[in-house]
Amino acid sequence: MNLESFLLMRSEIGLLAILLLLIIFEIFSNKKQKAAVIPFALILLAINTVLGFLPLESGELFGGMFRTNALLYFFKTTLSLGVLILLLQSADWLKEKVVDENKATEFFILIISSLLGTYFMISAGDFLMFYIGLELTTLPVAALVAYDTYKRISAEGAVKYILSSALASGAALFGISLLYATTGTIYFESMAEILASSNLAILGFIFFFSGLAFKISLAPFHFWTADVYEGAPINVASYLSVISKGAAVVILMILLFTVFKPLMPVWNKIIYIVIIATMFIGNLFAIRQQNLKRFLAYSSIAQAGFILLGLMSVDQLGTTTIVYFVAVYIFSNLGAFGVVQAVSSASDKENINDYEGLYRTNPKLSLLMMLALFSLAGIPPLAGFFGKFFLYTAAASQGYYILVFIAVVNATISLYYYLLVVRAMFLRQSDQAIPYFKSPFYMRLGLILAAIGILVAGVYSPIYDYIFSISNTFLN
Amino acid sequence: MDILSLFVIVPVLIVLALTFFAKDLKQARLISVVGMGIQFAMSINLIFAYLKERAVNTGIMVFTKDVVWYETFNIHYSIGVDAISVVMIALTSVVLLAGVFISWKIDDLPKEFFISLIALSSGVFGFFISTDLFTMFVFYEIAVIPMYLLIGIWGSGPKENSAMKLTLMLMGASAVLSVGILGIYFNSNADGGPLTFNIFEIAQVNIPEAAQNIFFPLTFIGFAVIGALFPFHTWSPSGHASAPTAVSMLHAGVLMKLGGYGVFRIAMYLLPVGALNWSDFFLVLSAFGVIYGAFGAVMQKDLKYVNAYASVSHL
Amino acid sequence: MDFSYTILIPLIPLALFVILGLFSKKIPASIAGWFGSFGLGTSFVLSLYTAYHYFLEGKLNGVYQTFIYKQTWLVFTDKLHIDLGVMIDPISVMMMVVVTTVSFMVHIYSRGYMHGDDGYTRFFAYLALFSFSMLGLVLATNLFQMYIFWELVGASSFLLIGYYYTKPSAVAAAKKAFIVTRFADLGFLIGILLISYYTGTFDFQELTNPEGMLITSWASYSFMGLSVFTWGLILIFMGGVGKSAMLPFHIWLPDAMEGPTPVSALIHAATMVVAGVYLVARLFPAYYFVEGGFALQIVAYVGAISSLVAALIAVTQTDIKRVLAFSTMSQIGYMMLALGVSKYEGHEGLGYMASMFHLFTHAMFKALLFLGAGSVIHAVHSNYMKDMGSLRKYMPITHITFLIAALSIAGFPGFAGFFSKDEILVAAFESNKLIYYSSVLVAGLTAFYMFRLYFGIFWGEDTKYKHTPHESPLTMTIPLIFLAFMSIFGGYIPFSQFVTADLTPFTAHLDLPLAAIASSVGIIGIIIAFIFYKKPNELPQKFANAFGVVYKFIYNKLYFDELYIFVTKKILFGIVAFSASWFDKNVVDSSMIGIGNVTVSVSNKIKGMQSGKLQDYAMSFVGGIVVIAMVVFYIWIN
Repeated sequence: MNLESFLLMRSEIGLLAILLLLIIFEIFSNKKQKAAVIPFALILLAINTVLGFLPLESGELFGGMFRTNALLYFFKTTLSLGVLILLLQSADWLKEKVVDENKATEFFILIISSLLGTYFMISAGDFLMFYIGLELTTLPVAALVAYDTYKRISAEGAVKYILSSALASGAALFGISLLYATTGTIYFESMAEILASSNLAILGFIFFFSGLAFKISLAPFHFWTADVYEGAPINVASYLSVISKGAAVVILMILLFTVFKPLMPVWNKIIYIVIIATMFIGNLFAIRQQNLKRFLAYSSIAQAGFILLGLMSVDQLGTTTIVYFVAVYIFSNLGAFGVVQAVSSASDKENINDYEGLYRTNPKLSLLMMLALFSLAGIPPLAGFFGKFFLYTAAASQGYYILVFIAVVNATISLYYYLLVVRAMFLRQSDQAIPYFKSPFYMRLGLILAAIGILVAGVYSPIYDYIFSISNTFLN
Repeated sequence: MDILSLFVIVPVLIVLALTFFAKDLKQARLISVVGMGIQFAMSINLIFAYLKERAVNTGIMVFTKDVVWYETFNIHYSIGVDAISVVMIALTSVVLLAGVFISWKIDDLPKEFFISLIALSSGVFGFFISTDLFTMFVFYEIAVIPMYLLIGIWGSGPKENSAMKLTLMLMGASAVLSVGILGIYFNSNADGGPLTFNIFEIAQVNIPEAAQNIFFPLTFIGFAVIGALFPFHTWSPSGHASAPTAVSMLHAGVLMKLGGYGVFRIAMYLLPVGALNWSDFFLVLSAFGVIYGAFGAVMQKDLKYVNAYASVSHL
Repeated sequence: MDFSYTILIPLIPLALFVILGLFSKKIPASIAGWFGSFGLGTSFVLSLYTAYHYFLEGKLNGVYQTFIYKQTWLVFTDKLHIDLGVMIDPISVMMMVVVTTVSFMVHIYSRGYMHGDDGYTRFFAYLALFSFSMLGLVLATNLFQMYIFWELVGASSFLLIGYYYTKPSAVAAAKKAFIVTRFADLGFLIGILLISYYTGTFDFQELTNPEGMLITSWASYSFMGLSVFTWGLILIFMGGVGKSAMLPFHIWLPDAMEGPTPVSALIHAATMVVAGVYLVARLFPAYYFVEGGFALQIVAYVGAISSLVAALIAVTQTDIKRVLAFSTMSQIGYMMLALGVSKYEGHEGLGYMASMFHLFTHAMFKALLFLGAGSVIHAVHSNYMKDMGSLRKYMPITHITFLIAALSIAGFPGFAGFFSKDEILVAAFESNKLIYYSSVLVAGLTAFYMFRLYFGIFWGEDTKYKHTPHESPLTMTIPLIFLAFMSIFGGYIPFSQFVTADLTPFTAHLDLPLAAIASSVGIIGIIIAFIFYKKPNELPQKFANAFGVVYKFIYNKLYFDELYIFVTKKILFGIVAFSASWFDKNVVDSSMIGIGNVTVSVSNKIKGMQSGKLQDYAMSFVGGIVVIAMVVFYIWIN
């Protein structure tokens, strides 16, 4: 092992460096300088994201505990970009509400730690590394959910989150130990060779799966989602719904396609049922929501159901469509959450009713919100359409037409509630419409980046082609 | 730039021009009139160009062009026209020009009205020129969604409900259609060729009869809803009644024809055996629709309703 | 010979329509009138030129040739496709001349009649659209093209009847005409679909080829004792019944008189209403040869009954345009029955020739009558006979031309109507005595009501006019004079040399005894009218009183309207449409909405599952694992 091979961990090392710099900043800055942490952290993360576009070789470290390849590396960069957009969108909230309480640096440290956790989680080469990554992803977020300490609902959300995720982690750990019991190894590669379809292995898989399903908020492990999103600050909810969910989906895919491939006849059916349950439950609950955070929480549950469609095709096609959709979904959801954040910090309003007449006072924001929601609903020429259609293609390629049919029915249901928001913004007029406001610079930048992603990622096909070209790197 | 792609690009340019330059009603409609005028001139030009080209070109489609879009799926942006599509394009541009004139004095959010109307037109034009299933489907959905705003904002009566009903039914139909399209796509290699979305390549393939029987109704229903065939017509009467006049016109004149065009060009052309096996069922259904539409029209009071029912019974 | 230029004849009115329609606000009224007249004039000259060449040179071995110029439009199968094009044969050339002549005259006339009207340009645009549609119908090469133009004719006549759209009765009449004919067209459409489905073609030439396979071989598919082809023909005839205002679909015609009078002259005298006759004539070989002409017999009886009933009703009406409307209906009945009694070959095809002949002469004199009536209405501003009288003093030209037309329709020897009507009676006499007697009776009635009208308007008591009536301007009288000329001399055209069922000319002779009977009946009718109406007297009233109930029955048009209102309001609206509408709203629509409602209500029901209690969440988490494990182990694995 030499220094060069350490560079395989470049993304992780970059994040660690940012964390250290932030801590140093926190120690040496006086009270007046605290606000400067915002541009400082943003610039650092931006640099890290840009560096992520440099090519990197694949390889393994620590005897196979850590591994990386082009697909994982691409995905990490995407996550980094997502977090950058998210932080841009939260910069003003931080400046106004958090800096005074002297907690801004902590916020960055916690979020970047969690991001680091997702990196390790998806790069894991064995269950130990995976579990550490999972916990590192989860724990800082629990602190973040409670960031509005003065709000009761925020504290409640945090408690719910930490307790349920403890349960989920426990289940996952139990599952891992059962798997270890049947195979005697925790390394993915060797387990993939040994694992056979025994009852114990299946039971282990089920427990393990439930732990991850919790992170992705798949039915019936989704109950925490709405309460936690509602209690958490908007950007934290946004983080939960895009970054941590996206990372969990990708690691689930990797494990199912490699380690658990021998169990495929079993997990195939489980996933089949879970997809249907998740889509229906997410959609049916979303219809009723008035609070936009809860609304987006359920919408993101339903979206998770769609993502899993890609798992039905255990090949390059499935992999590509999942990674592509997650990337697209990150942009779309960040767009929607960004608008909610902008409106909330200008007027403290978070309900759909409050958005009535928004187009007439804030046309650009409403337009972006519409684009983001239509992208989530899967309407061309926005990126979400391509993402969804390719997921259908993946499932249909294996002949799961009935499943695709159920999915398209759900897509129509979801269109209904997305249209409810559009209706409020565009069709309705209101005397108490939220008055015009101009979002600050960072917010606008964050929103514009999301909008570009929504508009470009679909029509511009080389992005998909690129993912396809690298997505065979872990399938042997 | 080729003669056909302009039909998609010009509306997009007009939409951009409207977005960035139009300040008020006068400017918005000026830009729209000029834009739609150009569009109209283009379609006239297309007719002549088509007649000229037809004389020397004996292919099914003329002015064809093919650009690879998504290589891994073999999705192409491939376009071309035959006589039917030329007629439909000309018809659409006439109706659109008339629609702009009819909406001359629209006072609420004029700019947005014209943007939606013209965005819709790019979808319709794109639909008629596409010879690739996927591209066609994309344009189809682009044509549907602006309808929600057009009816919801500028409509009359119970416009919100009508708009919602219309959008959900049409998008639901297109969702069903997407399953049909995927089914066709994954059976397009039945003769050993590559998977393809290209309509004319698929037409050469003998898709297995079992698959045709399954996917024909899906495809048919997908288009039947926008064609407002019985019993999938219920969006149409309320949609027509609530829609602003220009939209109502566009609906009856163009959008509903889109369904018929789709049925012929996709469902019946690509799945002939399925069409034959299902023909009795759908014939009875449409015969019933003719009579049914006539009776429904007798009962309805609102003239726009009557028109809608009349168009239902016509299809 | 190349007749492909004939495509211009319908295209010129189309171009007129587009120009006048698009720029109706910009084009000043005076120019629009000239413009329209000039355009139609061009079409008129072109069709005369076509007729001249065709009838002179169109024969090959003594048989008229059919020229077809077409373009394939929609392809269903190799055989079944829809073409658009023009078909030149004797009847289409003849109809083309009729349509362009009358349309041209009406255009000129309207320049005076519609003078000062607000929508002057719009009116000419509609007229042009109508002319285009009618010519397209006439020139159609196949059933489907015919159907397209058939509907277009219906739509443009809807626009013209409802031209005075501020007048509720006009709008109601337009709607009535549209709905009634649309209903009849339903039969037409089903007929077309039926025939095309079984024969695999829309093409007229294939359908009507007497030696062809189609006509002889389609007796096998039978339904209720008749072959599918016969059913198709009957259904197609239903469309013709609607357009030609035959019983029982005639109720729209009297109401349609709400439109401007030139429109009535164009649509309800000469062109659209004879479309039904033309349709049957177009498919005549099929009607004649399929199953021994069963469908043709229906045509004959419908024509005869309509003709008699309409003539009876016409006797009692007081609105002069309505009298003319019923008279039209009666004369079209003549044409239908002539077709119905006709045979195919040579001299036996006399009825066919007579029908076309009468169509031609009728177009001339009936257009003249309408235009004359329009001139009168223009002068006295009323439609009712009681407001008129002694107008001969004020309007000499109108008077003379009207008299010529009346004599012609009454079948007075030497006038055009005499010749054509005589041929019809001969044909009826040779084939069906019952129909013959009824036709003779109709001839008498026709003469009577026509001269009742004539004497009532131009003689009788000098009503006290608010303004002194005066003769119409030149632009209105020139068409009258031209048409009067045609009403006299149109009868001397040797029609049997031109238009025959089997396309082979023959020579028709005047059958003197029958002609004598017919014209003497006509003259008796005129004399009775003279006695009754020359000078105001008590006779008509006495007569009416004497017949009492019968008179009232006829005066109220045999209560057909009431019957229809009963059937439509009570049965159709009340029971059928109401239940259809109920079904639509509550079953079809609800099932669509229902899907949505179920979704929402399920969403409501399951709301309780999200309790907000952490314990419940943990329960469901563990429960989820257990359920999945149970399903996997007990269902899938075993």
